[in-house]
Amino acid sequence: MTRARIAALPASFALLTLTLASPATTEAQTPKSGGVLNMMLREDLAQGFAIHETATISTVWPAMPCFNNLVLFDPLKKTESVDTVVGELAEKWSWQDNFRNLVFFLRKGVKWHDGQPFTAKDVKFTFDMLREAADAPAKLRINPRKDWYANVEAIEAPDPSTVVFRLKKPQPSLLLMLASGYTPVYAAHVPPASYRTGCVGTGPFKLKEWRKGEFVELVRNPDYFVKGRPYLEGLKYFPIVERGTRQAALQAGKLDVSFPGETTKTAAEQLKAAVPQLVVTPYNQNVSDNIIMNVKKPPFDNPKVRLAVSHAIDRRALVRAVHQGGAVVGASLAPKPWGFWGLAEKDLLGLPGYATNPADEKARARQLMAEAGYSPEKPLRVEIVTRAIAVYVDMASFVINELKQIGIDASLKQIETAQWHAMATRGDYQIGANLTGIGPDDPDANFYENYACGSPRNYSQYCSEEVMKLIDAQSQELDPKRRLAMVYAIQRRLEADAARPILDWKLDYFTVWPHVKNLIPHQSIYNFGRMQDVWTDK
Amino acid sequence: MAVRPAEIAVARLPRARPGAWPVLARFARKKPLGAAGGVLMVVMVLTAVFADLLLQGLPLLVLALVMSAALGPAIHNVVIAISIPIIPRAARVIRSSVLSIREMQYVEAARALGVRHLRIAFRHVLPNTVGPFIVLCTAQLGSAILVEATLSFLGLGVPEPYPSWGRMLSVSAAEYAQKAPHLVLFPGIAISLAVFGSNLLGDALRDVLDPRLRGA
Amino acid sequence: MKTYLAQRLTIAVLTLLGMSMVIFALLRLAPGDIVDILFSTAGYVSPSEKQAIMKELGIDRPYWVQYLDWLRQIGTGDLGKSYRYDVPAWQIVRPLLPVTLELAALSMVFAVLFGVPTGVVSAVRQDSTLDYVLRVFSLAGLSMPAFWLGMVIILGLVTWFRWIPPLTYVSPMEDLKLHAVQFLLPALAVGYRSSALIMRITRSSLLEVLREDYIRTARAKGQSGRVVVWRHALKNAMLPVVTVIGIEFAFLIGGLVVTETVFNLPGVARFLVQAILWRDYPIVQNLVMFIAIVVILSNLLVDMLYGVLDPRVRYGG
Repeated sequence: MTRARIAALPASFALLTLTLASPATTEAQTPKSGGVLNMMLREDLAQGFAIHETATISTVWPAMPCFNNLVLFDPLKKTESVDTVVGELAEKWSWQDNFRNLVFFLRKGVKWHDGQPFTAKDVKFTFDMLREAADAPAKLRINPRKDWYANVEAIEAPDPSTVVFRLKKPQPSLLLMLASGYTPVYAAHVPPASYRTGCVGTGPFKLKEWRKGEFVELVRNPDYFVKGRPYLEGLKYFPIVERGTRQAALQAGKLDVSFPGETTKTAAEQLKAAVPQLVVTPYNQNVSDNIIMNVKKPPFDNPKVRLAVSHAIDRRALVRAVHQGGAVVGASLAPKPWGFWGLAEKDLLGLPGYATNPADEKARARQLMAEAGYSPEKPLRVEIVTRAIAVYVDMASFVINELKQIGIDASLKQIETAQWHAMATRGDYQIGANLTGIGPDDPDANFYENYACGSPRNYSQYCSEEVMKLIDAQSQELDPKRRLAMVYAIQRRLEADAARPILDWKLDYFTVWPHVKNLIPHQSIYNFGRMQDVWTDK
Repeated sequence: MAVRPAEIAVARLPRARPGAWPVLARFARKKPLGAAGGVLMVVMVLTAVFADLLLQGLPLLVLALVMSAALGPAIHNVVIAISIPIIPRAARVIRSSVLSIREMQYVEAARALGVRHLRIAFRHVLPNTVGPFIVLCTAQLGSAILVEATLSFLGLGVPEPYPSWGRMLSVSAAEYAQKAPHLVLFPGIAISLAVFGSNLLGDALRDVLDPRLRGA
Repeated sequence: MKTYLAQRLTIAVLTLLGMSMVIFALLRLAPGDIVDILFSTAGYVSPSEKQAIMKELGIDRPYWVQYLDWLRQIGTGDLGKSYRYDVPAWQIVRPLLPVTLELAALSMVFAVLFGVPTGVVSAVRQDSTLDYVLRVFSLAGLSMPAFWLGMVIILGLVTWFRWIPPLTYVSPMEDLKLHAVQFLLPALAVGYRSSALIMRITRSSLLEVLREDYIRTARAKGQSGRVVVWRHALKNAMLPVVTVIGIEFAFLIGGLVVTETVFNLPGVARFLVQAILWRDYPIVQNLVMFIAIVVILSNLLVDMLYGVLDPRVRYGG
């Protein structure tokens, strides 16, 4: 439709449009300034605007417009890779000394929302705090992504507009982690705790009012360093706990945008049927359904039993039954085109649980169970834990049924959110049905967090020295092609070891009203909430 | 032997009032059964008064909400969370009907014949409280169903894999409601019919068991 | 009268004290605390950091110290700080109160306005078709979960009119009409149940009164049926009705928990559920105490009304 419209326009006008619009703009319309976007939240902000103290989209989505990163995945592009990283507070950056030093040249004249100037000091402050450097001037009370900076040796600010990250060993992925929505720069002149109640950022929008449990209102930052941005006058986020009410509000036009990660395929289809003009974009949530098995405890210390479990679960049936087709099969990273690094479906065929004939897989699983000493007369009885949230329980119920078919008698135990992470970290379980969300679609962010020996979020406590070496090797690999091949090999290895069998990658069906422009979902729910270029054609 | 704990408990009480405690302790040693019974009575009365006060001050659902959050998601915990707030109400009904039965002539007659106190209580009074009790049960059944449905709707009720009408209405029902309105309609209708039925039964039982109120 | 009031107030204070203990204990009994929830939003757990935060919030102290601290806070009018929001609890609780109070009052008004007249009609026309229709209608109100009714209302509105009430509180100063619409729908959903109860009680109590001798006397004196019912019978039949209104008020606040959630109204009840899930003790404790105070006061008010309605009722002493 857009194309047809362009064709119909006089050539001169089309040219004008193209020159006016930013080169990356996907819409060939002139953006309009003004207007307010109304958006939903599924709960009130978890920790105010303290992105660094949480790992939930409930905080990142409404807080992101207040902040800036050094670099960010281009909000106007769908893919997230090293080629789509654009500068925010950093005007330019360069890798030096063979990916050992990452130098950022900062924008000048940037001001915090309270009028203070932004300098390299703020950057050093933020990242020293995040990596918990010995001489860090401040400390976060909760610091979930400390491990991202494990390889940073020092951060230097030689002058107010230059920052150097010195690394222990080459790590091209660091740039990608810095480009995630989880990596804003905090102001050095306000205490980090103050972000739980307010927000002093440099971002395109300023906090106007946060009425607890009712709404969060952000308004245009008139001093924003990108001239002419943001287009919108303001943003309003409404926490609506009841799912049906949320959906009704979107459908009734009270809200303009769905919440990232909350719209299933069926729900989107229904919305589209009720309001045909709604625009639905499927994209990768970067959240996987997976099975965690405690390798330190019987019976899952036996690799055969783990493998049998992995063979038993028919991934494609799960996608059909539980997600109504709104998910894709994949290994430990999301597959193309939804992600960048994942194994494609044809590469998965040889891996446990991915064969096209589920009966063969079940037979193989039963054989493995028999080898491990279990039989129909002597079935394996286990308790499968899951979080007491519908998306977890639905998946777990499906898994239980699959396991039953290979002679594993699993009962379901629901764990309350308050206890789930503590239980999983302690390894206080046998087998669990789990969901894992990953900030940027990046091998380092994923492997070190979920598969590295000793990582607190490596819930199955799978630890293989060989795999660790492979992970380190890919992290330091500078040639993108070779690195991709290494990442493929690691994924195959992890599935063959049944380290943490991945069942599927969930898709979100992002739904917006057609007047919302330039709000483009990425390959992860966590990185596209800046709202700098979003405008409304109302 | 069974009374030892009471004795120990009394003996361990703080000696804040040097006058009273030794007396009590001596009493406990000499008449352990009586002391235990006394303690039990006091505890029961205090509990009843306390529960009664609580009920006066808090809506059933709010109390059940806090309780089920406190006890965690499990089917027996939901039962406890719903039933405990009803206890004082049941106690009140039974108490008031016992008070009136106590004055009946046949009770007086039994007393005049020298029937033992406990025997009167259990043989003559208690069976006659069954009528009001059944009426109360059916009346409370409806509200118990509603409270369960509400708790489950809020995610604090009966956990998976036990099915619950309330939970059927939570999660995805509303999300798919337009494509499949039956997802929202039928569980709600089922709850309403069940409660409607138990209310009707309650009305009918009341008419039968409590003729004074017939037609009301 | 004065001593009676003093007595009642003493009991009320004792009740609140008991309630404070129970709520305090129940919350401490609940598995997990705010720090666990905070870590769950961060997706990891660190025992040493957890200890530090518990210390920061003061929940590492013995329970009795925390309890006394809370009582002291109430005494000084300072409700403590919300764990979740890091701001004074009162700042969060205050804007919620008028919303819930208005909703509750509106529901009650609706319930009375609908319940009493239908009850009277039903009693006067005992055993007529109209009586049966009204009785079934009221029994249905008692049987439907209020939140379901709310869901169906929202669903109907969005399907047929593609419109739903506003998502945030609209103050009456801002837009009276919108404000009314925003409150009327949930009030209807909640009030229906209460109106059903009031209707039933009105009906049965009126039926009983209508059998009394003085009514027969009035009738014999040739007064018209309408005058007998409205002037003589109804006033005497109101006593149990008022009792039920008092009891029902407590129920009604319970019903608001879910109705506020479904209609996304920023009131006490909806916030309470969230605060319980977050183990935000200061908020839960104070909100529950607020609900208790409202309920106790409404009970007291009902008792006072007895005297107005029935001169035979005397307040002790």
